[in-house]
Amino acid sequence: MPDEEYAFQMKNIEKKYLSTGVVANKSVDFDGKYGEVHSLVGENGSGKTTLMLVLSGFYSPDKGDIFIEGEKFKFKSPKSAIKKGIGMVHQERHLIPSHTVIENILLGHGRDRDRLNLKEAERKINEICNKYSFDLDLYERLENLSASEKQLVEIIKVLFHDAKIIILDEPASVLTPQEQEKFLESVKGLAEDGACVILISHKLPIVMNVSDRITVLRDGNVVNTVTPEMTSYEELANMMVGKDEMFYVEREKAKKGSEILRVDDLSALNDKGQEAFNVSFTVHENEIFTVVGVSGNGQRELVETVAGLRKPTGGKIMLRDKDITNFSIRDRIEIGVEYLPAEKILRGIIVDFDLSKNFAMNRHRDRDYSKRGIIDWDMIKKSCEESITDFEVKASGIGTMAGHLSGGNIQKLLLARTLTHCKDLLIAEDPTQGLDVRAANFTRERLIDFKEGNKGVLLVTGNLDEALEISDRIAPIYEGEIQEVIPAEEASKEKIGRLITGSSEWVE
Amino acid sequence: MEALLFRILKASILLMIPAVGELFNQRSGNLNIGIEGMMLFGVLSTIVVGDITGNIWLAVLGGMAAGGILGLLNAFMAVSLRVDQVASGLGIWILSLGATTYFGAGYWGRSPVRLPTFSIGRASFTPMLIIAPILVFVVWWVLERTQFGLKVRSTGEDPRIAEVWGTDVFRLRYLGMIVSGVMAGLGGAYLITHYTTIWAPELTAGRGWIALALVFFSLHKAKYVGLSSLFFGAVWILALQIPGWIGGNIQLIRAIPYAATVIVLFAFRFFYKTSEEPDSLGVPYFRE
Amino acid sequence: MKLKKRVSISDKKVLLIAIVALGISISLFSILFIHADVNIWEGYSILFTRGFGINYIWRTFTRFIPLFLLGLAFLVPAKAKLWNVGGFGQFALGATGAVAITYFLGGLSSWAIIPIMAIVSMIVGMAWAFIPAYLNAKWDVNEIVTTIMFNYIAIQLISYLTIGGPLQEPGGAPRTEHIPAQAYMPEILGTRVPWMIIIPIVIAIILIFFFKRTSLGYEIEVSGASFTSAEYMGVNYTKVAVLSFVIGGALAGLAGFSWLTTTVGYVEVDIIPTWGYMAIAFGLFSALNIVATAFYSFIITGILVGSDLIMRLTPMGSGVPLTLIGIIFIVTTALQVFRIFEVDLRG
Repeated sequence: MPDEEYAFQMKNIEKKYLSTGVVANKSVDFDGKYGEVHSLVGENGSGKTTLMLVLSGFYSPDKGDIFIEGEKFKFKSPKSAIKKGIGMVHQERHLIPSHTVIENILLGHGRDRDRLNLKEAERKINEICNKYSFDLDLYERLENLSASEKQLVEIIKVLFHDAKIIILDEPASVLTPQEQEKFLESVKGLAEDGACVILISHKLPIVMNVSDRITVLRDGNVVNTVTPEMTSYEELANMMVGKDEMFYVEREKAKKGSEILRVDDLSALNDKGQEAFNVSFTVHENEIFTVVGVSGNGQRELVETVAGLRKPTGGKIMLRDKDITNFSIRDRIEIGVEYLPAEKILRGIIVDFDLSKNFAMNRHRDRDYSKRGIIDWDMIKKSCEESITDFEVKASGIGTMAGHLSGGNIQKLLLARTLTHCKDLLIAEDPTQGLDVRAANFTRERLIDFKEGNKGVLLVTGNLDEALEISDRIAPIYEGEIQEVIPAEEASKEKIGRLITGSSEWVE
Repeated sequence: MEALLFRILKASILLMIPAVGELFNQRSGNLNIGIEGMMLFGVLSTIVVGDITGNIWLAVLGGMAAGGILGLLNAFMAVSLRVDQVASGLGIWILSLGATTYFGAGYWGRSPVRLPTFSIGRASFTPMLIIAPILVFVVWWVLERTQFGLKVRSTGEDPRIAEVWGTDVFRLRYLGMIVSGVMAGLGGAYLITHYTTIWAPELTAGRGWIALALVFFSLHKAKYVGLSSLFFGAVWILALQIPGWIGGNIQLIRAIPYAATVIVLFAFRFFYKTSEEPDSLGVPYFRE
Repeated sequence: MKLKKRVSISDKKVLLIAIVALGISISLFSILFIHADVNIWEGYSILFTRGFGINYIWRTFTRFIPLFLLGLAFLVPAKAKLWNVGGFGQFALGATGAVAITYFLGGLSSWAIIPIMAIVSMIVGMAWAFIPAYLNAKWDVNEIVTTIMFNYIAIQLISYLTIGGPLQEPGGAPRTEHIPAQAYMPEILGTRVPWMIIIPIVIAIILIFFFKRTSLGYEIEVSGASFTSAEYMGVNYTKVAVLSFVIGGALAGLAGFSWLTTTVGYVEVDIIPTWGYMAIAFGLFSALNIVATAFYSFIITGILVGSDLIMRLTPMGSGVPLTLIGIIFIVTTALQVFRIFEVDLRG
């Protein structure tokens, strides 16, 4: 097909993140045609969002070119991409909560000195809404809308700006199963009207339902581009996660000890008010129990609920026969539950504090370190020094500001702090994310050492290799539900890959 | 009775002008703690320019310009240097208190030029009576009915998102602070050329701070500024009358607008679980 | 000009910025002197000898007490990222409360009446800070606006009490009565410095200890540094916020008490100084470091006192002190950019 007939083409796109050095796109070719739905599929970190951020003008590629209808373009900003008819609906909202729907749609439209022609805008928006059966009160404040309605506003906005290339990043994550069906109809409708729709998703049932073409990304590279007819769920899942090529080190199977954590029918809402998860499972002594899945399937909320940061809407959490469902964070720490958060800088480390001051977090009322409200800094400093040596945290002394440490060392500091003090159950969320190979392996070794001291680890990760390498039992999660609990010996990448992409819903 | 009404109107206009300027500013995300100082400087400049030129309109422009310059200074510190806006505003206020007392010493007790007045019946009005409401209308119209105003409002809520959609956050925030300064200066000019006409140190008597309260009391909506000014102006004037009518105390009655502001802010949060305050009010913006 | 947010800054650099800012500001005073036809050397010499010279420094020490306390009154809540702009009102009402109590207990001896007045002033200050604190902690009502409003309500309240109200002195003047002779703060023998100077120093030491070594102080600092980390730690933010704010109110009230008993001896609306607002700068400029705040307060107090004397000894008119302080504030505020950011002037 001649170049001009493609809505867009991306050739040899390379994009590296300066802050982490990770190469998100390693020389990717990707294109889209008018009138088709082309899905972009992959695990966490495969590079799909980055690629689309390049196309929509948020990033400039380090290498490679973008062609719109055959003409080469360099986008300097999202606005210039919008001008060329490219609109992206992101995973987080790019909208203003206190403004109304219509104001949000109109923001950035036209020139500054234009009057806000509400009547005219209403007319055009209603046209769009009628065409795709969208139902919204245009004068409602955005913050009063549901999560799926807010997403709808962004889609309408993109259409209002006359976008002909529409990128949707994981749109199904905010939709209830009922809403998903209607949504897919709309997506097909958009393509039928001549738009080029790019759908980023890891939910294979949706992808197989609605796509004309499917491109799989893995580790920053394109694996293959196929059509639904010529592939199968199995094949797609395998392409996404790769084959089991590594020989996992035969670990001596540790004797699973008594039960530490029991979670019964536990459920909680996410920040948007929808039920994020509903699960039951146990974690035992000498065990690493791993919940694995693509991010956005309820793991974050699950972890927060078990850690005490989120109120459950139902169910129970038992720690060795004690009901800790309503325990405060303080009490959970005292009883032996510790949380190693994924968002290290946001939650776990304060950049303006030095290492020992950071080390004191959550320890500042511990009996070992404080007497009647007065902190024993000598003890803390001693413990801190021991820990950072033990965990090989590279810093020039414990008086260094945490902000001066490299990302990897910050993680190690957090690891040191948590592992040194956790008495019973460790909740580890994405513990090796962003770490280099050595540091990641080091962390995993430490987690194994930890659990072998008659303690338990609830591990949450999106990294399948990691899950397979260190887990004793693996629980793939999809849309808030644990699909199956698989003992490590019986687990394989293919099996997990299927379960985390919704194989329970596959209809061949 | 009529005289009372006119005094209330005058008091309201005096508050309305700086308030609507600061409202525009706060919608763009800035907090101008220096309004009182800018008003003071407006007063002084008006006198000085009026003294030199003898022309009322140049004097008024002088007042506006003085406010505008201080607004620019505050904008530079708040937007470009991104320092704490409470600190920069306080600095300007304190400096103005001192400087206007000091430099204004030679002008005590005088008021060179007056605003022209026209009479209706027994009352005399200045053009301000018409200009002030027009200003409020213009601010309302720009904020609510133009793309520009939409961008201004977005800058106050979430500058990051506003920028995604093509807003020049810096330019708008600079503009906001300057507008607040110019309006404060204009208020000061009105104060000295019609309202009282006799200069004394700290003449503004906290009216800049009242204007700040007014913005919050109006729930950050231009359409409520007129009513709020009338309310505050009425309380201010009536406080002198009410003891005569029903017995009560001037000072405590004068506390009503301040207490009312706190109550309104609380009530709104309590009942609506939301606020009308721009989400990014007073937060310096850095592009990461 | 390119700005990059600093991760941390050495104390030395902070000190350097502070000194440079003071240096620039003080040099700018010369412009004022020139404008007033005052000899520059004379101007500076009065400023420094009257502010800091051996014979006169007692005045600075005296004024330092309330000013430093007010600086702390802003600093403590600020550690939790709460802006207590209400120091002025808490100060004024604290002083008023202290006077009021002497109406009832005026007969008591020094040893009794002075501590009682101090405690009353602190209680009043705390009470006045409580409402804005609670409104903010529970409902996120902007504490800057509410504390400023409370400042004005305080003025009106004091106005009411002292003009035609229950606290007015019998002669008809718009103020309270003088406090009884024994209620004045006694001075250290030989100097004219009040004993009370010990109090803010002791309080500062206690606060330094509080923030460095207690669990609660640690929680406050964490809440101010990172709200999400405080959440992660399960800190009860409402408790922490209200507590720190209320401590600030108490300190401001105590400042009012010290002003009352070391200088004026009565309360009148027109003579209430605006120190509460000025002291905000001390905390901000010293990046909430207590020792630095002490030095800053002392220097500014000295300049205030010295410039007050300039007003009296030279033809320069009133308004001088605030003008000079205002210059210091604006210059120092502007230079804060160097403390917060690494500045690349070429970019």
